[in-house]
Amino acid sequence: MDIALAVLGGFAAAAVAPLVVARAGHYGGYLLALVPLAVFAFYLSLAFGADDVAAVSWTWIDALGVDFSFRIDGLSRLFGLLISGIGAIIVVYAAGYLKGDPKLGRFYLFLLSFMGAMLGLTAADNLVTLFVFWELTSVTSYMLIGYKHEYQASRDAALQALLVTAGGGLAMLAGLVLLGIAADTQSIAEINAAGDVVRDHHLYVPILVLLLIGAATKSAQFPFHFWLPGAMEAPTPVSAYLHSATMVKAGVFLLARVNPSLGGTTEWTAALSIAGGATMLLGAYLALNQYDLKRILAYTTLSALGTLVMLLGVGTELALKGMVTFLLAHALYKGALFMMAGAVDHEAGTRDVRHLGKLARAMPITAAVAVIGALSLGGFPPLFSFIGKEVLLEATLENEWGAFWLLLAVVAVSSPLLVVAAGVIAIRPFFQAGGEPPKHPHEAPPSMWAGPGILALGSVVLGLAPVLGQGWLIEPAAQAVAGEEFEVRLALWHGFNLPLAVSAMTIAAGIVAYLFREQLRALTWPVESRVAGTVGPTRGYEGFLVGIKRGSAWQTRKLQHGRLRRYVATTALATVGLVALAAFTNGGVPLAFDVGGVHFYEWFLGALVLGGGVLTAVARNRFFAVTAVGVVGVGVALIFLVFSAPDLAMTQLLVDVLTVILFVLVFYHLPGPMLQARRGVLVRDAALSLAVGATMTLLVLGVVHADRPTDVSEFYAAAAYAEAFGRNVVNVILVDFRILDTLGEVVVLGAAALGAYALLKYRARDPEGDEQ
Amino acid sequence: MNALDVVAPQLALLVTAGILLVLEAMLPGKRRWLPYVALMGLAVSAAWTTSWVIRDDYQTIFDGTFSLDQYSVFFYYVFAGITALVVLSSIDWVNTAGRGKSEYYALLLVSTAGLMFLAGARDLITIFVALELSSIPQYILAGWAKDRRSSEAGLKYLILGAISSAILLYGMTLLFGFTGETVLPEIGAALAADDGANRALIVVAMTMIIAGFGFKLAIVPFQMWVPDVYQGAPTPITAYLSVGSKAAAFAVVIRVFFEAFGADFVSNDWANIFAVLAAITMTLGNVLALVQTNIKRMLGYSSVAQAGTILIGLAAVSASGQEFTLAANAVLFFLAAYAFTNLGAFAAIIAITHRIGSDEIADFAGMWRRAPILAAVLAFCLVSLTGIPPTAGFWAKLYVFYAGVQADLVWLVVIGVLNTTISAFYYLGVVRHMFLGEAEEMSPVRVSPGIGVSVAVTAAGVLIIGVFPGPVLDAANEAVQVFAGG
Amino acid sequence: METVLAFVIGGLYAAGVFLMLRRALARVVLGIAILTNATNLLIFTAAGLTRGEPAFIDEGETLLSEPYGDPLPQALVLTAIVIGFGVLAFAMVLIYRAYRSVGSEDSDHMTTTEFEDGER
Repeated sequence: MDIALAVLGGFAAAAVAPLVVARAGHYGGYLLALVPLAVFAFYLSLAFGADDVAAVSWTWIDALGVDFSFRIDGLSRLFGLLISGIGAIIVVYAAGYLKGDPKLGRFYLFLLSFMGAMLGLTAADNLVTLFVFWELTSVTSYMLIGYKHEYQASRDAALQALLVTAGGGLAMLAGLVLLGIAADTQSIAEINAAGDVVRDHHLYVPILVLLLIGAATKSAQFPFHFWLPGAMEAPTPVSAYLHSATMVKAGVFLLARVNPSLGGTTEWTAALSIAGGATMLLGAYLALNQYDLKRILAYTTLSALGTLVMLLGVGTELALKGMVTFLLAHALYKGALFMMAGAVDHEAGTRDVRHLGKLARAMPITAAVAVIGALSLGGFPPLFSFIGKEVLLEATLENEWGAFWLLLAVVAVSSPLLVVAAGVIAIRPFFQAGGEPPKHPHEAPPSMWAGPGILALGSVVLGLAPVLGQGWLIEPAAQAVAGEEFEVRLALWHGFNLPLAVSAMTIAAGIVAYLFREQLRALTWPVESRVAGTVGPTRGYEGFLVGIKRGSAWQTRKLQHGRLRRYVATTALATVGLVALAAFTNGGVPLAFDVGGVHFYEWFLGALVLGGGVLTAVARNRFFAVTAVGVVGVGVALIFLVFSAPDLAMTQLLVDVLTVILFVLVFYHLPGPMLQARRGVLVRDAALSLAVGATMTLLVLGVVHADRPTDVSEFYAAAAYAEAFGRNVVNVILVDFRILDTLGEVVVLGAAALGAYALLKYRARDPEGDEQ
Repeated sequence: MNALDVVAPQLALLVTAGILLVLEAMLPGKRRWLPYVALMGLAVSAAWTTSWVIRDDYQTIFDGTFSLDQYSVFFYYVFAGITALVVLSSIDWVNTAGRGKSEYYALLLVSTAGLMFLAGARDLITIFVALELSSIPQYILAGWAKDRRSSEAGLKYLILGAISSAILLYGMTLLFGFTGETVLPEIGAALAADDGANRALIVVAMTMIIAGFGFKLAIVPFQMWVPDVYQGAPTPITAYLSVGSKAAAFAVVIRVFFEAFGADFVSNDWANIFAVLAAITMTLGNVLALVQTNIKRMLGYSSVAQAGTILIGLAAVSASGQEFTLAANAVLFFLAAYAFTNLGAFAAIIAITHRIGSDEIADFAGMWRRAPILAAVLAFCLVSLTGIPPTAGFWAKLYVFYAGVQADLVWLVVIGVLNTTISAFYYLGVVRHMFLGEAEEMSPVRVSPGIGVSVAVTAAGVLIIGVFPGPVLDAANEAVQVFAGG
Repeated sequence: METVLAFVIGGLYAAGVFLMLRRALARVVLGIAILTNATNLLIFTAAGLTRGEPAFIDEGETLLSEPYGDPLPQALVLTAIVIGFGVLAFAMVLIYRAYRSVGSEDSDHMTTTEFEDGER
């Protein structure tokens, strides 16, 4: 119960956030930060509590086996601590950053809802519960990214992010449903404990593909990476939160969560290593030609996410250890860097490094944060991310998979590029001369440097003394990802070995690349701008949208033209087609064909009705056509009379007369001669009509052929007098046994009359409706 | 008299319709009470239905042609709820139109009575009569507005409706001609006794019955009337058509398939046909909805797409043989969830369009500032239509997809998911306009009490079903158990 | 005779559909009238025909004596005739009204919902 309270507390806090802010202004932010802090404390208490795992569950939908259930293990704890810890920092930071913003209350509403959704997502045990929170993160992050909706760019970015992540999420839903069916349970813990059940299931590949789409869209893996930099239009606190610890890590979380049951296969290794490696390389490269601090950070985030996915793909014990370590390291330094960028933007009025310089003097604390963050980004010792990178290299080098040289090459190219990015972030704006920011810079208020400072400090402390985090935090998380027990020992100093050598080489290469960055840019930018303009996923996304719209517009013109007669034609054609299909695929309809014993006057009646129909169809004059319709009706009445149905004949005759009178009355008001169609149209329509007619004829011949029992009518014949004391059986049926239908019939007529009356009455009254 | 007692929920509506007409004639000055009289009629109808639930004395009457069972009762509540919300949403529109108030509400009630008869009908003739009873008032109401579009809508709806009735009647005649029976279970018995020689004829009859109902269900290729009529008809009537007549048509089709054709008769053929129709209907509806600029038209195509999703459930019903109850349950739950969601969307749209005088999506820009609650409710309903939690629509889709997978229709579910993704583009596109667009005019949109109640009830319904789907699921489950015995 | 009527019914359906494919609304409604007749005749025929033996129970008897014209389809046809007439009558009012508001009886001019200007 306390678990649920902690997980869902964010939503409760969100609900009251607007009220708190309305009362207390931005100070309300400090008050609200107590909620994530409390959650943080709760997760800490779990980490040091007696039980390794905490779980709670309620039945949600019995028939589908859906439970509303949470289960907090090592992985959930790591995420929970990051989400709530960084969440508290962001809430405080936003109080400074968005001070005086009239929409601050709404901002906290969405931010805390988002936090609740993330906590729910990472704590969920049931597949459907997980999905519910997954989509909640998409929706709430949409609100957060589109927060500054005065800007068109912000709106478009928000929509793009939502469409990509929500769409991917739906694919994931299909994957989760299949996973639940394959494993025959919806509890993630049970699925993970079931061993090879899922891996051996015939639905394994569809499940993997669908889940990968979900994870890749959420964690911006290639080729779905394009939405993430666009989402940088969000206010900085949002970017810092979404892109360091939470939203974009959700995809990584999902993959890590299902790793024990789905991971380890060739498909898994290949798909994740390739997607992750490509994203890692692409992100590191794309940061090169950027000047906006946030965009640089966005692309390096992309690179980091790729690294995490790649490590999951490699999947060895070492790789998973590295994954968890790197995840923690990245959350710490990336959160700090984003908030630093926000502070610079807030104080100097721009985030473009070309307009910034020598900020270290005015903003010493921010500069220190930037330096520590950048060193982490570049993977310099003695920071925590250096340890992460060491393990990453080690895992890559020991990998037995055939393509490990490829992965090593990816790492070897990406790392120097990240060093360049680190230099651009830290050295250029803070220490080099030049640039004229729009505002005269001051140090940011404490609310905006305290949080990043804590995170940066974390990077340093954990780097110097990794033992502080390994036993209670990293080890359980890595074990939860792997699904097996092992020890995690982290150390800053590994001795002289291959990873250290590679690490040193990449850092050296990075420093060289930083010094020659202008040349690198001059070399790559023309190609990059060209490529981005013609191909690439963003273009693909836009082209996809345009294509859909064009296709639909074409469809609308062709299918939905508003013309009644084509609708009629489609209906007739579809019916005939379906009937023919049904008849042929089921062995055809046996036909009766027997014209023996037909009296000559019956031939005459048949010819009369048929002739009337044909004449109506070909008549050019309305009144002639009405006469012909009348003849059809009379002919049908006579047929009823001949074949033992005098009541029908009387009714039919009466209705026929009324019909003709109505036709004459209405047609009297219609203009001149009727429209005539071209010959080609007539032939086409005639062919379609004859096809319909022929189908109907065949079916009647078929139904006449089939013998049928007549016990219902026998029942009525027997019961008519016995039960209802009527001699005219048809009448008895209508007024006694089937009174309900007769009642309905009467009401139908009444309704039609009422409608006709109302239309005519009000038509006569308001002539303004008769325009044109 | 017992029979009157059984059909009292319907009779209450018909009598109320009569009272409305008399009231307007006798007390022309008291017209503004008319919608409340209609609501009272609906309340009486629902109360009587409840009395049957309490009495727990379900039965068939008129020699088995009409059945009062848990299944029909489920739909009685759905229809009464739908119509009550439509009446509430209509008040403003009817007052503005300023004419034919009593006729409008009376026809609405007559149509609802028809829907209720449909839910309980177990006989071909009764089904036909009930269908016409519900349809003719709809044709009239579709053409009720003064403008030319409405006239066109009414005319197209009527003519295509007449054709589909003819097709339906033809299919029924074939079935009757072959079996000599009109009561569904007896048809089922006759079909079961057949040695297979007339299989083609039976399948043809079923095909025509589906084609006939396809018009009401709005499945491709019988969907063409939908956008034109949805756009042209008065918006409250569009709302009514989108949920009421569609739910009734599905109700009948399920009953016909269970009681006459039997769950194990030609089931795999049907699964395939429904599956293909579902795939085409979903895809076409969604793709066409993408380019719409008019919100009523967009919801028209969206309702086509949603019908396609429900067809996944029908395909699953057919494919799963004796295990059908999960799938049938899914269909019923979907219909109820969809009714709430779509009515909520329409109620908000009615309120907004009534004030701004336009139903173009572009004119909804910035609605968040002009009418925050309406915009939020509309957005919430659109999210529900997409199938994103925590809404009723999410469980509906999940349930249908689950049923599809259980019935081994994985490919169809994947198409369904892809379609859901496409649908996100246009549903959320409207949300984007409302929340992120700029309004040209900033005057707030006021909401009348009728619409207010309607909006509040539907939004609460979507949310409550979204968080606690249990009770509705149980009711749906109880309803489909009616067929489990046979 | 069923065979003959099968062709008559087919012919009526063809004529009815042909009329409904026309642009002139007057023809469309005539088509509905023909279709209604065709369907009524179909129901009547599908049940099997009996010559000259109406389903009346003779005076002094309580049971219908064989042979007799099948009463159930007759009841069905009666229902269909009445409902068909209701639909037809309302259709006529509607085309009259549509003509008054559109100014044409050409159904191709009734595409306002699809094309804003109502042209095409």
